[in-house]
Amino acid sequence: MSLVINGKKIPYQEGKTILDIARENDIYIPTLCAHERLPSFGACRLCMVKVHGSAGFMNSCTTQVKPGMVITTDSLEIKKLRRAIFELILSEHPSSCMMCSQAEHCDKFNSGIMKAGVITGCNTCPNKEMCEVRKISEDLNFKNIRFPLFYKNIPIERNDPFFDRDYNLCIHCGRCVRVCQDVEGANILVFTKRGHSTKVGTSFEKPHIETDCKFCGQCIDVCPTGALSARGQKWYEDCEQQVSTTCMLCNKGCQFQLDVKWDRIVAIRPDPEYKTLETGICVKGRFCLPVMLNNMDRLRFPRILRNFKLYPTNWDDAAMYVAEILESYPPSKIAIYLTQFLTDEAEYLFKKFADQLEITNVYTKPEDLSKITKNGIKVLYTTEGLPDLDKYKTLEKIIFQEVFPTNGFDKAEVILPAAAFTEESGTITTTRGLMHLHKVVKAPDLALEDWKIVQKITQYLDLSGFKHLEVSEIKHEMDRVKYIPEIHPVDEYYLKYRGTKIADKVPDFAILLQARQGREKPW
Amino acid sequence: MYEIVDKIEEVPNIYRLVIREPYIAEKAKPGQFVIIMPDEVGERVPLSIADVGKDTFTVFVVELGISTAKIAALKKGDKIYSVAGPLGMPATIEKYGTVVLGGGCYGIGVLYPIAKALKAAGNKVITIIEARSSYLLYFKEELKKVSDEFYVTTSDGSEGTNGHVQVVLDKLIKDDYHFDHAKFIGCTYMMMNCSHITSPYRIPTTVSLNTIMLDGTGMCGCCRVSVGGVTKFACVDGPEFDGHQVDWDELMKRKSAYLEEEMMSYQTGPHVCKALLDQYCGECK
Amino acid sequence: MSDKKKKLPLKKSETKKESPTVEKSSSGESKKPPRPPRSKMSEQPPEIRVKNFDEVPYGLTPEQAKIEASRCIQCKRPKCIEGCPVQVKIPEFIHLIVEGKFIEAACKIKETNVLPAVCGRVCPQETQCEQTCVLARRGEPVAIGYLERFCADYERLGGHVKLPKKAKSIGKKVGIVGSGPAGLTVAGDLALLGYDVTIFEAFHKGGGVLVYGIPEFRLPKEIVEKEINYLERLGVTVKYNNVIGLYRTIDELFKKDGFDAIFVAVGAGLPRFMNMPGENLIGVYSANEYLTRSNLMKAYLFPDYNTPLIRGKKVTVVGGGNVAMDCARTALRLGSNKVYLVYRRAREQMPARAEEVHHAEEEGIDFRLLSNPVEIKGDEKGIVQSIKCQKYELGEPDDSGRRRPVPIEGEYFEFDTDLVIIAIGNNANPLIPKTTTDIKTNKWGNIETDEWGRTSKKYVYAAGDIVTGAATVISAMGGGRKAAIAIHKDLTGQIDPEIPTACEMPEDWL
Repeated sequence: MSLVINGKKIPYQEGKTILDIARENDIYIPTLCAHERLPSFGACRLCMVKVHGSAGFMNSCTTQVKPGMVITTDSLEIKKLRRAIFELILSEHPSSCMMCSQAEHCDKFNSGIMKAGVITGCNTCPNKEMCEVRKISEDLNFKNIRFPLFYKNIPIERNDPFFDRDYNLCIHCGRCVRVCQDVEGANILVFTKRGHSTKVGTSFEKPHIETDCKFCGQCIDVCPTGALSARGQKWYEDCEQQVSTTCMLCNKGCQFQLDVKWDRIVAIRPDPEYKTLETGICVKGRFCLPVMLNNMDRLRFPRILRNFKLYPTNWDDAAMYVAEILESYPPSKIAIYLTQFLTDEAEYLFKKFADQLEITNVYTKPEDLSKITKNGIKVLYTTEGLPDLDKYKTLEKIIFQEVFPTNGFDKAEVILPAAAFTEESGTITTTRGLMHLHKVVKAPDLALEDWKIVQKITQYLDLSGFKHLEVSEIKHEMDRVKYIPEIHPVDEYYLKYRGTKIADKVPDFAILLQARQGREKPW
Repeated sequence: MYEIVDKIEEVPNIYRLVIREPYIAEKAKPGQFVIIMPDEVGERVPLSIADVGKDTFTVFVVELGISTAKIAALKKGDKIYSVAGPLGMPATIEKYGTVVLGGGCYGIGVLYPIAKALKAAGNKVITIIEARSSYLLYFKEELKKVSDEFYVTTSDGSEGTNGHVQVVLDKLIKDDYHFDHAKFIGCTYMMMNCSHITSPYRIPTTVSLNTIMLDGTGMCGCCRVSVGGVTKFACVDGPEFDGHQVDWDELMKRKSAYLEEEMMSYQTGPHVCKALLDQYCGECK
Repeated sequence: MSDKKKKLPLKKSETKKESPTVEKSSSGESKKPPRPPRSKMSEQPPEIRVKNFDEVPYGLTPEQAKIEASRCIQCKRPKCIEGCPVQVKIPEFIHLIVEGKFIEAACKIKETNVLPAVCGRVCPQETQCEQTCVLARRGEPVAIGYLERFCADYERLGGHVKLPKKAKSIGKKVGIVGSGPAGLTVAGDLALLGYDVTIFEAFHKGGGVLVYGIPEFRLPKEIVEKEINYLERLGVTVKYNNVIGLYRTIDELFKKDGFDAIFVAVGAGLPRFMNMPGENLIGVYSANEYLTRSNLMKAYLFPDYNTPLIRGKKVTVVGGGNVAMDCARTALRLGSNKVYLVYRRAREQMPARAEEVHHAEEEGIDFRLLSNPVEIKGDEKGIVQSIKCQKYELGEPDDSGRRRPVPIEGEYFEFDTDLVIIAIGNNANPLIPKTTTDIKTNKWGNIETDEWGRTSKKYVYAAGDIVTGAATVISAMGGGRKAAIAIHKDLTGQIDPEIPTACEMPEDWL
């Protein structure tokens, strides 16, 4: 059983549409509203083809193949039709740049990033390199529109955190509506009004922050134009690398894909290879993480307190100083606080470290801090910024190993800059099971992975068994001794990363939390 | 701190800001500019002065990059961190005879005081403006009042002639219009094309260059441009220069010095969001 | 008349110190303890400090400061004061440090030097007070710079800054154009005498070269801000974004705003270029632009601060003064792999401060001495790719006494670079003379003044780099001190009784 497309015989497959079969066989049909993850819609009509025996033309994206179908995807008539449809689409989308005679020269000569707030032409659109409309205009060799041009003049929606929505660019393909209703099940975006006034939006035109919008960002991923964009992530044109890793902001272990440019993370989306695509990733991972990790006040250098000020120094000095402190106090007066955000290997190494130094006070929960006064702890080696450290009057020296200068930073004796989870490899135990971390970018300046910092300190103490060269060696050791890490009780609504409140580093997130204060869940 | 008396979105992406500063309003002449810093971490952005009032002055801002995005996000009643001016040499206004003026995007608004001054000096003023599309044209009525003839062009043909300023300019010259002087204000590409049109006819042409600037008082050399083989500073020797002597190639290249940095800087968007959302959060409290 | 204030005679007990000639005694017969060696300032290790903008020296601890201060032998005729351009009362403040009275020591310095935290960091002490120090003849001089810095920091970090007594208002207004070292000194002096002082600054932040020229790792900007706050607490008004000459002319200040005298201290801000081919390529900066972007606009914190700055990997700096050192060390800290310094004379003739050259060498800057660039080459996008230099050798001495560098015919070399900074010096800022035509200038654009700072326009005074050409912070302060004396004499006929004695005043003034 077979079909014939453009004179070529192709085997029939049940349940597939004409578009699916054409794509599998490298036959070009332009589309704008079709998307492999979304149910077909037939909105844009660009994919029309001629099925012999039927009157008129049919959408290849919604028509299922039948055995013996004879299809033509390209003919003079179809070309004219496509052109007319495209002209209609473009007559309400700022298209001057696609038709301007000076287009190539303008590009070469108009320096400056030319990425505007309100988009009135391709030249200033941040989506220019990825735009599907532009791609089709190039494929169809487009140069003029016969219909009157119309700019809808809808006010740009910038009043939500994280997004910008410019519905003047919207071509009504409906992808965002479908992803929000059918894939996410949130039902925030719908087609409002009717006829020529149809516009994608929320019910009653409420800003997203007042609806139940989860800020998952799936609508941004599927939009073919620059209408929906992430404010902090749309300007970089194309990235240098794409790396996938596991999110560690809670214990769900979602997989995401990160775009890297200029040695920093510029954008994040769900990993297309993994199941999280169906459930998406949350606002913390997608929008807050790049802003937070690229923040300038990350700890970069080890510092030692000298003359009332914390001066930068090198690792040897700092590690030696920490070793001196640990040697000069009895183990019963030393406490180590382990944050929930350590990789399994770092946690194991810390526990081994504490074991060999005979330090029994290893704290893992905020409640444990009350034992400081009870046991008269004098030295606290913490891997998380802790509030109110000055109420523990017995503490004499604080060793501070963190990513940001948070609570307790100014009372520390030694600062050890740690790498964030996107800057190291390792494994973490999540509710989905054992997940892997892959190093995405290098940590800034001298910041090191937590386990490497422990290793440096052991060089100045007389300890054995800390000579691991790579993190996989620690994992092998853990497997040999059958060390089973526990799942950390960090749920998806936990608002801190180590000792830092995410809202402190990401102003948009603070606004989101404030606006959703009264609700049971913030998103 | 400098207060914003009014802010209007003239056309999508071009905003008119009216700022209160009595001394600048008193001393500003057509062709001069101010340097604005929207907040303490912002850049120093040069903006041409388009009009002056009793104790206010007007600038047009096109939102193209993080600093102009911050300026465009300010509202009526807000205060700007820093405004320094009036800087630069004023435009030369004399009785030439017949003058042709060409303006594009933000240049349309900035052309207004120059057209007004030239008309008052007794010239016959012919004004040509361009924009991408008809909904991006503004100030048409004001410019018609100070011009003897007025032409409009758009890139997509939605209003007036299809094309750019140089198309109309070329046609007028070929129709035997005699121009004694030409002034062009707009994006560098447009000014270059128009200068190339007037050059074979030896029409004295001045252009208002918008180079990258830092301090605006001639102490850094950031805005240097080669005019007739000599290096000049656009902030103290300009911004007006003889269009036929400017080394356009070098100017284009120098303006593209910070492309990557501009993209990087725009990525750290949080500052912009907060400015826009302050108002919102005030309401939801 | 006892207007000339003599130095306080030292109390008897203070002179009983170690005798001046005791050194590390080899004979072992001396009963007095050996003099301690000069304190070594601990600093950030070079490989760390090239990555951050924190200060390089850690500063003395109180114990170290006391030991260093005890090295001073409290000479009866102190030579150190003669070496200081503003005649700081050095032995007195050092003695207060020995007694542990650090705050009082800072106040003592402030009697003659308004900006001790700045001077302790940027003064070339090795050619000033520490050169004339008696101990320098046979060993190491007292570390006067470290001590000045110590007590200024102690006062500032401890929050103990006290305001001195102010005279009551005499009803006269003085305007100061420029908030650099000269302007701040005059503002401080006149405010204490009861004048109504207004400083007009063209930028949005005050401090002049202190804020845009000297990098953060040599002079933290919070110090400059604190100094300006101190002046504001004394009653000085500081107005920003006032470009005098364009925003308001000097004549308007006199006629419309009622000022009685104007002090011009706008500095030497006009960058000098070499006019060689390729100087307008992308990646060629004047030192002014590079430093202004980095220090004033804080481009080293890009992108948190929006001003961009090209971070070259192979940077070339042309010049040998303090500005060139600053540019080179800033370039290292902004992530370059290699920094070349091209200077046409030899190492000994470099006018930069000794400590800066020393730090620069430690940080790994490659000194290409006895060379001068002739051409900069770029690619088709207009970006710098390489620089071609000519070799020089030292010939006969010129008027200043330095051996003149002479180019060697045909000896060229070229190397790759992606950022070139021209730091060969600055000329006087032309704006004020251009808009106030009755202020006379010499052929180089510097304002002509008599030795007290009076210009050719009545009641207009000038000092600092605009008069002398590019020089040091402390010499600008010295010029400002003298101009303040002249302003006070011209407007009120009086001489300030507190001025230091070393200022030679003409007989008819007394």
